[in-house]
Amino acid sequence: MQDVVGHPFPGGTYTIEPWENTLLCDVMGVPPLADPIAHPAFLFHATLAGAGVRIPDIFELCRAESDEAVRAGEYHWVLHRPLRVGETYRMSGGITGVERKHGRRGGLMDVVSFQIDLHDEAGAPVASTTSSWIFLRSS
Amino acid sequence: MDVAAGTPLPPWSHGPVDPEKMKIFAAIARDPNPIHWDRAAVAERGLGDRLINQGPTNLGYLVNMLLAWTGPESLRDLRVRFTSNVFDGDMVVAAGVVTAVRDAGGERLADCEVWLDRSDGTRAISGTATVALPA
Repeated sequence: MQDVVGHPFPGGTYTIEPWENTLLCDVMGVPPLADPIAHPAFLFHATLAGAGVRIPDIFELCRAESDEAVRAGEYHWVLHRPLRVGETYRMSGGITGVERKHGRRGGLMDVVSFQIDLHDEAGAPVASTTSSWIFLRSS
Repeated sequence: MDVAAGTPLPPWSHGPVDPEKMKIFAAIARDPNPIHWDRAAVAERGLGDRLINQGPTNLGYLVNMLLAWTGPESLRDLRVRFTSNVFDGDMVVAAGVVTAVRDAGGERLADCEVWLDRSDGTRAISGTATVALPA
């Protein structure tokens, strides 16, 4: 699995649309935040979409044995400033690490970490996300 | 805002968790895993008979608790670990406690321990957060 370390995501941009913020806030159980602030929960799916990867892409890249054999591990979000509705962010990132572990309950697993950085159109850093997903292995 | 180490964060309660919201988030996030919208798929996988809420939504509940306390622009850092699932119909409570207050970058920051619990007492998320305190 160490072969995926350093794998870059294609990269790209993502614009937080007002309708999407309204729907996302509804999912999160709150009314839209004070205009134009977007809900920080965008840092999950918007970073993936903006970086040009889909959840199944990461599953395939990391050789997931099935959908059920993947667990969320840790998420770390750093915000240099709030996300804003209507703004376009440039995303870049990739796989940063793989650690093989033997869990007492989960058995053999690979903990895959990836980082995605967000910059605004002027190039200023907005946020950074580091995520680890756990890929359970049968052997 | 009068805050010091040991200050509890105002809890944020939510529920029952609505399976229709899981469908919306699956579409928004382009998450094809049927455990969020197909009860038969959940049962086939031996995961029970209720749909499983998406982890980022659970994390969103935790964020709601923080933003309700210190404002919509206040989140600076959030590090969490997912320890258990949340299911449709569950009631959840996000809460936390201040561990330190410090000044950095011209802001007064509160470092916190945070968590999200199901109503049966199971911890779904635990972690740490840093928020900027209102001037």
